Amino acid sequence: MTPMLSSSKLNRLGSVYRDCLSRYKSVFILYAVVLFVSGPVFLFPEVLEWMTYERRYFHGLSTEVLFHFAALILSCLLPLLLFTYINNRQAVDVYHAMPVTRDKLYWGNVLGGATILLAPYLALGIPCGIICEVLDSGTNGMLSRVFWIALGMLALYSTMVFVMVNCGTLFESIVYFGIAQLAYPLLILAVMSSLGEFTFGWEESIESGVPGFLAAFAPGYLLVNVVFGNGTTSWQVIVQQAATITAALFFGMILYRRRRSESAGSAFAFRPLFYVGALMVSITAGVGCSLIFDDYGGLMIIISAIVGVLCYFILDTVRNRGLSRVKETALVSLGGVVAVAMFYGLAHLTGTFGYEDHVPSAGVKSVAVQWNAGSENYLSSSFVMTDEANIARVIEVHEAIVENKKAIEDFYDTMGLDDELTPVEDGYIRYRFDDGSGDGWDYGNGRVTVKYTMLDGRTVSRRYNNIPLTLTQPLYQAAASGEYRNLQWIGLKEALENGDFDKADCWNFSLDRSDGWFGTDIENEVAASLAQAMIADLESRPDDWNVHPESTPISELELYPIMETGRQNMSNYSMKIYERDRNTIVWMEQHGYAIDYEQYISSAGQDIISARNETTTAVTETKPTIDYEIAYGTEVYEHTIAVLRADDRDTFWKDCKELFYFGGYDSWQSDFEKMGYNECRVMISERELDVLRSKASSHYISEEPRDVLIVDGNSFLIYPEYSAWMHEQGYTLTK
Amino acid sequence: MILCQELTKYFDETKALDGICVSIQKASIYGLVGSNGAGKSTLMRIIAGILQQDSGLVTVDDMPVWEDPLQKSRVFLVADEPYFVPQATLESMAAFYGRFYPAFDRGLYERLCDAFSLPRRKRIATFSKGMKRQAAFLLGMAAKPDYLMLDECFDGLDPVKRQVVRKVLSDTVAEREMTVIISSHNLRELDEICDTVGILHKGKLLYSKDLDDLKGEVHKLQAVFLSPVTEEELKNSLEVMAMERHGKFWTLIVRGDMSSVEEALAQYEPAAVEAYPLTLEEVFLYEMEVKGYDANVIFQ
Repeated sequence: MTPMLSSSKLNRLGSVYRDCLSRYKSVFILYAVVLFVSGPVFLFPEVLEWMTYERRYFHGLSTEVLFHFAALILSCLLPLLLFTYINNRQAVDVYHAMPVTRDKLYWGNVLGGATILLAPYLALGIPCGIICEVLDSGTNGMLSRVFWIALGMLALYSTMVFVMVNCGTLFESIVYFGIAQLAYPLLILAVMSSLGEFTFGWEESIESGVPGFLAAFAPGYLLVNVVFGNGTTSWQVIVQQAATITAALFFGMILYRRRRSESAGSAFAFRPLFYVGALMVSITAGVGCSLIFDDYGGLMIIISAIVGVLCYFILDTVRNRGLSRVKETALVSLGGVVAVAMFYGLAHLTGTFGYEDHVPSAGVKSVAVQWNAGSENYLSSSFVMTDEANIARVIEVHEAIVENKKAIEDFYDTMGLDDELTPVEDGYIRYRFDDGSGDGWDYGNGRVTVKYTMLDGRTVSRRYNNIPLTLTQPLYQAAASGEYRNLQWIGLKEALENGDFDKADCWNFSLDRSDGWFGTDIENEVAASLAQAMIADLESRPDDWNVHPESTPISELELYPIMETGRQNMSNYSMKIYERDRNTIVWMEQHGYAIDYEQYISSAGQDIISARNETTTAVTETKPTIDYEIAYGTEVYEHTIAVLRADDRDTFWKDCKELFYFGGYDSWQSDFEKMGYNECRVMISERELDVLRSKASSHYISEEPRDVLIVDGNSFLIYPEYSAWMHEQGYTLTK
Repeated sequence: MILCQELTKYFDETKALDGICVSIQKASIYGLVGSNGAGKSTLMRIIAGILQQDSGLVTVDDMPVWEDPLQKSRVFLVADEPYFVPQATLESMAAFYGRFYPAFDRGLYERLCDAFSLPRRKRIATFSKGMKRQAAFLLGMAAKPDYLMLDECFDGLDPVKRQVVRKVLSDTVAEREMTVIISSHNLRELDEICDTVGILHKGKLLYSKDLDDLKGEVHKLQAVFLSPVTEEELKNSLEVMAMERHGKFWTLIVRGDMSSVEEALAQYEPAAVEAYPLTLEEVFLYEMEVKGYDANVIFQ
């Protein structure tokens, strides 16, 4: 009889671990060779070239993609090799009969596989990454990518191990691993998109908020961010990925302990994975269909339900290897449809579980607002505001938007919104808006996107289209506040102080003029002097400078760096230019980039009269509408100008150069008639037209009635200082 | 000693083992026979700690096997379809088992390799069916378990190798009191080697007895009755398992003590009664026939 053996010689994790390394020695060698070739072998000539040509530009590791790709592929395949024995009845007889506990068997294989996977990758990737960073002045990024991708590899590896433990065949393991990687993030995306279809203010992406939090557990999320993003990721994502790895391996161990050896060859050793995976696929497919067929109304719901049920039916039939459990399949499908319907019904009834009505009224650390109307950016979310007054303003606007939710949502169906609105402050009712049939990009309605950062670190984001500007008056105050102005120039100031202007190879400078955006590249030194001028003007704006007609910008300036590689490591700087920004305006003139406005300001009014065409009909008080012909070569163009003397009802909010129409594109003439005005037509030259337009602005807001110049249906408000001049020239509207 | 008490095992809704109670003594060769799907392999796998029973108790020397590495190191199962690590040779499999079974005897392994004339460095995947069985057997023997279970170990072996296997088993049982459980459909082989036999049918253990005792309980008789005798009369007097009649010549398979049988037959004044020894195979066939597992019943 064999002597009794002490248990210390048995059941060693090391035995299983060594056995794993021994069995997959060939895989390890092949993998290491691929990494070695795609890493150091290809890096060597680059290093040699760098050293030979006196440290010229370093092109990086051209085969880096292959290097990482090989590792990621093995992350998915290796568990299939390590744990394939649990799906083979003959193999199970050997492994589970061995004098090793299930725990040791599991961890020995897991750790052995992780060693095979990570050891060569890190041993080769880290030195290559260090070399690339050194030769590329710290901008290459390969070293950080190695670490992030190693984490992603572990996440893929651990989820595949978990799937293998749950499944009974290789086929199911591969399929449900794929489902876990793809269906999970797609489910989040589909549900999120479908909720966004009917949720007021929805601003959730798969990169933020609850969807972003949920998606960050998926291994693919980290890898996509690293590979297709900026090469780095947040600590939160790292923690979540670590949680995924830990949970997958820990629960994998628990299930492996309980796994019945006789389940080898069955579709699933544990059925919950099937239900989770199949329901994810079914719901994703169904909800995805609802997004594709959203024009079909009620039919969309039926199609989506059918598609979802069909997907589940197919997966369950494959699982059962036939139709042996059709009744159970049908019941589960029906239950799934009912559950999804209840979810969306509840979401609809509760405003997506309170999402629509939620306005963070306390605990806000900072807020960033992107406020666009037409092509104007009145507030940029690049500038994060922490001032309590500005936060309060944003909250005030947000609450007003939520309070007027129904009117805003119904806006597409009703003409005129003013009467439906609860205005933020009395006095702005006089602002009247046209029917705007777009999505808020024209006719002055704006798009407001708000992102709050709370004191506890959470972020809350909302996005609203078609927001009437009557609700947004506090945002003007925020835009004109000292904090916001400081934020605008603080980046520039820091860039100057940090010498960022020396890092770019050149800067692209763009200027918005009446004839469109003008752009050109300028050298670092020139850009720096422009930035100095901009900073001086920004700093000189008074703290009490508020929204009033004089604050109409006359142009907008953008400055952004161009690196030789095309990559921009610094943000662009933009600034609206106002008449008071003398430093910037003078700089423009000195460098030959004069803003149109400056040219026309110096024009004399007498030029108009002397340049008038002989055939021009004199403007009389009874003829406010002006026709003019422009002779250009042999062709003649006809345009129409109308000048209105506005009353209280005719004060407009202007939005870029494409402005409101008084009653619509071509209907202003009938509006004139309704109001009792007479037509006035006069022939003037193009030069005269340009002079007229120089007295008006496309960026203007007025609290007082102003004259309006309408040219070819485009409306412009006359600057108050030129009202008298307009009347002197006879450009008046009379009844 | 291996002890199973009220052992029950289900595979989904199928009851593979139904309240098995069996005791397998140390240093014996136990033959496990049964119809296809009777539960022989299932029982062996439970004893080896591969499967876990749904109810009942399985102990080896009074200790349960499940998840006990020490107990498992003393039990080795050579399955009916032996498994080898992919691309493995005998040498690599020996290293594999040597890593996990502390008692693995390298010397015994090499002697057995020579005895079976198996190449040690050739891939096992290239072996024939019989060679694979020999490889599995010798690796199991080299692990030096206290309890060796062989599932269909003679299948595919040539007569000489069968003799080698029988000799190795007998010698080992005698030398170190190893206990062997053999499952086979080749009852003639078992007849020659087993001490005790258990007969399984549809998950139930019909008998577990010493082989001689088992054979001693079932008798094949040929009798001649001069006076008329009916089948009913004979069935009423004796525990008849099977019966054939050709005129006055009766062939009876009866269960019971021989003296009691003779006494029962005497009342019919047989002209002659001859008793013939039964092989294990015959005993098995007749036992199965009683249970309705008969070729004439299965295929008519």
